[in-house]
Amino acid sequence: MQLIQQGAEAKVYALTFYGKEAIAKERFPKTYRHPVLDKKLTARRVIQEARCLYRCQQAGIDTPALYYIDSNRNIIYMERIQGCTVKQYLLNQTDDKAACDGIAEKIGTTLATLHALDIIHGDLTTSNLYIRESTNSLVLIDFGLSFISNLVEDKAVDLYVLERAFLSTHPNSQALFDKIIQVYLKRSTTGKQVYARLEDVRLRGRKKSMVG
Amino acid sequence: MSLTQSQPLQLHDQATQVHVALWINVSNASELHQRLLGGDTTVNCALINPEAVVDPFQVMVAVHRAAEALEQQQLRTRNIYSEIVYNLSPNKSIKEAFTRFGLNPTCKTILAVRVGGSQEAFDNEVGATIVGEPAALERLSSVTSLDKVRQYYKLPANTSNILNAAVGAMALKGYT
Amino acid sequence: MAAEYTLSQLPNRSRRTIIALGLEGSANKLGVGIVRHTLQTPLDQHQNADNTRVANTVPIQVLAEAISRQQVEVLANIRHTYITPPGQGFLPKDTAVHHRQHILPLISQALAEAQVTPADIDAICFTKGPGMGGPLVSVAMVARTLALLWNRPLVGVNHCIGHIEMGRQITGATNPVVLYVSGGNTQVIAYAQNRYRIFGEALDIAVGNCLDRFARIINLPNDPSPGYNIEQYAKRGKQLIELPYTVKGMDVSFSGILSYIQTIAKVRFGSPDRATIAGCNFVEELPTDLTPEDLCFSLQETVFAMLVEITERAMAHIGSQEVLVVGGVGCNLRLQEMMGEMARQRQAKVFATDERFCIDNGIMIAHAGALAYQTGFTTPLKDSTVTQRFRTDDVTPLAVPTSNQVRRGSTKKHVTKPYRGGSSNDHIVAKLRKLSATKRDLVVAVSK
Repeated sequence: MQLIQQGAEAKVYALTFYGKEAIAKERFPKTYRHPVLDKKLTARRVIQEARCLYRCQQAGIDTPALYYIDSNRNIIYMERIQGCTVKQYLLNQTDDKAACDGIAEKIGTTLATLHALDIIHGDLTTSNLYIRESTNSLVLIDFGLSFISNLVEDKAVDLYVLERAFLSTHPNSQALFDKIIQVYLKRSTTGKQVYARLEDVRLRGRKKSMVG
Repeated sequence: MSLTQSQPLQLHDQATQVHVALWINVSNASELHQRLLGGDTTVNCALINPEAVVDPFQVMVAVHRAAEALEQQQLRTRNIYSEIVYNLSPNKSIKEAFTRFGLNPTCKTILAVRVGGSQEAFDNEVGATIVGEPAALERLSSVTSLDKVRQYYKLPANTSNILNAAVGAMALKGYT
Repeated sequence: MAAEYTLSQLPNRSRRTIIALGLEGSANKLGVGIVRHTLQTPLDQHQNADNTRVANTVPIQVLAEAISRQQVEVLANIRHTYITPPGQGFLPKDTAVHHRQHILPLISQALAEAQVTPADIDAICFTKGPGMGGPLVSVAMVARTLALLWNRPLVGVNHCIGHIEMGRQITGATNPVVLYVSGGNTQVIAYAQNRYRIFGEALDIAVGNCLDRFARIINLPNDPSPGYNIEQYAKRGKQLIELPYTVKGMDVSFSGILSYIQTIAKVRFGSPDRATIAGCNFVEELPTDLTPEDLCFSLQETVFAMLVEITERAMAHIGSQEVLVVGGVGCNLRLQEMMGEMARQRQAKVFATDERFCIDNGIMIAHAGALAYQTGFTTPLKDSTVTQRFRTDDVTPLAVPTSNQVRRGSTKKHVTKPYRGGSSNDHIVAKLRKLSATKRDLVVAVSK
C-alpha cells in the first residue's frame, strides 16, 4: 500500500484490491479525544461515509464504488477513479467554452440529484469532483464530511462552498458557476428555495446570521 | 491445465491462497446438500450457488470479510466457508443467505471456494467431491441471472454497474 | 482601501504614546482596563526607503508595521463579577444594575492603579456588542458620559475582536486560527481577506452557556464561575457516558447534548418534572453508580472534543499552524490540554491565556480600541449605540475612516441595529451624574 494523501482525519493509500485499482481510506485515532469516545465516533463516521457513497451510487450518481469496510481498522476500500479532477480539467480548458458548459451541465445535474437524496456533501471543491477517463462522466468523491439533511440552509451552504472553491481557484469562473446554478435550478424541485437561500448565504459569508 | 483461479488473500503477508472453481452439469448437488446440512466438514470448501454471482471479485470480497471475521473471532456462522456464503447476502438473515447463495439440491452449477492449501490439493479434493465438469470462470456470466442479482441486492432497474452495486450492498451488510 | 494615510487622519501624529480606557460589561463581568501603546518610532519621523520623506502621509504598511511592533503595557485591568446564587443565572436587568453600581468605583480604582488622570486618557473604548442589551447599555452610557465630560473620542469595540487582539498581543501568535469560546460565543475565526472571518460556530447555544446551564441543574455554585466548578468536578469523574456529538463540517451544536444530560441529571439527582420523566427511558440503561462528577467529565470530554475537531478542520482548511484559544471557557485546562494534543499531532502550536485575559475584561476592550484608534477610527457620539448581535466578520480591521469600504460595511442592514430596550437613557444619565457627584476622586479628576 502506498500512501497518497494525508488529511486531518484520514490517510489514503493506493493499492490493488483483488485485481481492482483501489484506495484504502483509513481514519486514524485522534489522541485528544477520550479513547472510548474516539472509537465510537470514528466507527460511526466510517459507516456514515460508506452509506452516503452507496446511496449516491444507488441513485445513479457516479461515485467511487464501495468495496469493503474494515470496521476493526476503520478503513474503507473503494474504487480508485482513473481520470482527472475538475480542477485540473478547468485549468487546462479555460478557453474551450463548450467543454466548460458541458462540465457545468454535469455538475449542476449531479448536485440536484445529490440534494434530492437529502445528502449534503459537506466539502464540495473542484478537487473533489473527477472526470472519469473511460466514460467522461462526473464523479463525486470524498464523502468524509457528508451528512443527511433536508434543510434548505444546508443545501445552500453546500453550493456556497463550491462557489467559493470555484472563485478562489479558477479565474473568471463566475459564469461557469452561474451555469451550474441554472442547471441545478432546472433539475431540482427545491432549487428555487435553495437558490434564494444561497443569496442570503453569500451576503453573510457562509455563516448563519445571528441577528435576532 | 487447471481451470481454478487462485489468488492471495489480501490479509497480512498475503501468503494464503484463495482458490475458486466453477463446476457445471453437476449431478450430486442433492447429496452434497445433505452432507452440508449434516455438518460434514470433509467438504472443506464453500459451495456457492452462482446464480446471483456476477464476478469472482464479488466472491473474493466475501472471502476477505470472512477471513477477517475469523481472525477477529467475529464469525456469525459456523466456519469460514459458511461465512463466505453468508457474506454474499446483503442482509443479516442467515437462512435467506443460504437459500439464495448456498448450494441447493437442484443446483446444476456450483462455485467452489477454498481458503489456504495448494491449488493441486483443492482441485483433487473438489474433483472427488463434486460430480460434474470443471469450467472456466469466464462462463460464470452465462449462469448468472441478472434479475436475481437485482432482486437479492435490491438494485434499481437502471443500475449501470451491477457488480459494483452488489459489492457495495455486501460491504454495507450489518451497517444499515 | 487607501494605500496611505495622511497624518491628519491619525490621532497621535505628534506623540508616540497613547493611553486608552476600556470598559467592558457585555455579560456578568464588569471590567475596566487601561492600556498604553508606545510606538517605537513616531509616525511623523517615518522615512521612505530612499531616505526621502513624504510630508503628511504614512503608507498603510508602515502604519501596520509600526503598530505591530509597538510596546503594549497593561496599566490596569480590574474586574467585578456579578455572582448569582447557585442554581440561578444572571438576568440582563439585574446585571445592568450590578454594572451601574460598580462601574464608577472601578474606574476610579483603575485610574489610581494606572497612576494616570483623565487628562492622560486619549480615547474611551467601550463594548459595542455582542452581548446582553441592558448591561451593554449601562456601560456604553458611562463611556459616552465620560467622553463628553473629558472631551475625548469614543471607540466602540466588537467584544470578540477584543478577545482576539488581546490574545494575540499576550501570546505573540501571529496568524492563528482562533477558537473563541465563552458563555455567549462559540466561534472558530481566522483572518482572511482583510477581516476576521468566522469559519465555524455554534448553530444554537454557546458552549459556555451549555456548561453554565448544566452547572445550575446540578446546583454547582456560580462562584467563581460555574465553568470553573464543572472543571473541578470533571477531574474527579471516572466513567464516560455517551452523549450526542453534533459536528456539521465546521459548525457545532450543543442544545441536544444539554437537554440529554439535563434529563439524566434531573432523573438521577433531582426532581424530574413530568415532561422529563416521559422521555427518560434511556437513563435506566446507564450505570447505576453514575455520579455528578461523571456527568461533568462526560460533558467536558464531549463538547471539548467537538470544539477541537472544528478548530483542527479550520486549521487544515486554511493551512495554519497556530491556534489561539480565547474567551472564558478558554481558561479550562482540559480544553487547553486537548487542544495541545491536537496541535502536537499536527506539529502546530497552541496559544492560550490565563483568566486575567481569557475571562471578559476591560483591558482587551482598551487594547483593541486603541489599535482601531491608532488607525484613525473613532465612533461619533450619534453612532455610539450598542448592538446585541455584532458579528465578528462585520468588523474591518485597520479601517480608513474615509474609505467607502468601511462605510459600506458599517451600514449593512443587520449590523447597526441599536438596542433600544431597558430603561430610558435620560434616567441613566441623571443617575450617573448623581453617582459621579458622590465619588470625590472622580469629580476631582473630571474637573482637572
